[in-house]
Amino acid sequence: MKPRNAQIQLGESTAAIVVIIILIVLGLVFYSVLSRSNVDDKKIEIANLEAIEVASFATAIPELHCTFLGAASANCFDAVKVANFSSLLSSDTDAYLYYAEFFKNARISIEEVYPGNASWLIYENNKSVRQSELPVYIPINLYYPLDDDYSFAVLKVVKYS
Amino acid sequence: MAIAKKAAIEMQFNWIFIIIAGAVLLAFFFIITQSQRESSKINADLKILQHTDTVLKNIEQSSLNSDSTIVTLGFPKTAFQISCGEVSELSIQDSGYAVSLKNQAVFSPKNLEGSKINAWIVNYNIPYKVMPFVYLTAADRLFVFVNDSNSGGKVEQLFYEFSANFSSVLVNDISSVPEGYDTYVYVTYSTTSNTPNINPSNPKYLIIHIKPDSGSDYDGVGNVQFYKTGEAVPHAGFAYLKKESVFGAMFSEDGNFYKCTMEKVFTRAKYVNTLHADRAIAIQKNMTNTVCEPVYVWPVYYLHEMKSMNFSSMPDYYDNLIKLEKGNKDLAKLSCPLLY
Repeated sequence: MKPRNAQIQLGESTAAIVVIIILIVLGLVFYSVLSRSNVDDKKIEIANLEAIEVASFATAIPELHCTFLGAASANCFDAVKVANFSSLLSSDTDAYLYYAEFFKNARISIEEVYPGNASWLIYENNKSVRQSELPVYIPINLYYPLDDDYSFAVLKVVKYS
Repeated sequence: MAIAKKAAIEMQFNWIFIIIAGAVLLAFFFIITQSQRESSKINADLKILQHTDTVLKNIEQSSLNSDSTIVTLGFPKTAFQISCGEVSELSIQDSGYAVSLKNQAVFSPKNLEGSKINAWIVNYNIPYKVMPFVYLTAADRLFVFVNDSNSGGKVEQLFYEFSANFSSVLVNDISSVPEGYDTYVYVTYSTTSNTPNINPSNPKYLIIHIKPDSGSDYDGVGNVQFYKTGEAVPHAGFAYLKKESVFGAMFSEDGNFYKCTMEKVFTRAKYVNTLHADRAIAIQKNMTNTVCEPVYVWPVYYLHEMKSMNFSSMPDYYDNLIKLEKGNKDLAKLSCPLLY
């Protein structure tokens, strides 16, 4: 039995709609792939920014800095303050939670490079599900007030995201 | 006749089909456009918030090299809300997005609106650094320093220590205050009177009346009283310590906002004092120099005492700071390791 004219026309219209829908769906899939890659880029950008923020905070706080009559010395950490701050955060939960607001999910440590080889773990919070680690290394001077002496050290900030 | 009728029905059916398909396509593109519009608004809000947050998070670094820094934040006209209390955050009105200010000392009105927000970052040195203060305001706020006979010239000094980046005037008489601002902050000072000697007629104002303790001034210790529009008695009165906290009172929404922020400052000060005390003890214990060793005894005692002091015990806190400063100078004279 030959199809009637109306049936043919209906078939054509339906085919046109199907083709348009396929094109739209393809467009949406392409768009969502692009958006997802944008979101991933944004996540990386935010993680990098957070790592720098934490490192920047750690290098600037008066709790660790060398001061001389109240004036801070750039890139200089007081070794006694470093040791005390490390033990404060490990022994006082309130203090740990207070500074966790700034340091977030990170590991902050100081490693002496020359002439000694002392190291201090200042802060660690890796409770989140770790997907990536962004380390930031900052060379610093370590000041020993009792000997009035300096050594070279590295502040290592690893931001977990 | 029958064929013509059939053709007419077919034509009608085609048109109905085209209209329905067209409507579906139009609706589809309309929905896509709307969602794009919403997502670009969300994106813009998030970018503004992220930018502001980055500036606020980096204040410790900015404050390292300079005791006073000005940052101007520019963006499309935005309405911010700033809260201090159980929840301390900065949010964009009606967006649902916020950044935490839980442990940051931000003195600000509760609502900030405009395309330009000025931030003044000042180190809180008492004299050792505790943390940086952030003062936020929009262009619609005028600071009026009332240099009347009660102030003894102190308001004029305070005016010249205030940042020139904010709208401010020094007047002898408040009748000469320029008009056109949304909020007026009047700063008055008296060593003898607890009440300001002015009665502004502006629709929205805040009076900050500074009354220093005996023998002190605005950069020492005393009280600040807060009067809002139409209030004959202050709605709040709290202690201040150093001029940075007086500026904090001037930028705050009201007395309660100031108190809330100062309590956050004293939480940080408690940890800073603990570390200074522990450091002094560690140095004293390992000290072989018998000249230096006894000089640490009293400063350690004062620092320990300050750990348990809070915002309400400012005069004692200030006394201890003076003694610490003296102790630090004594150590400097003897070439011993300093307290700070």
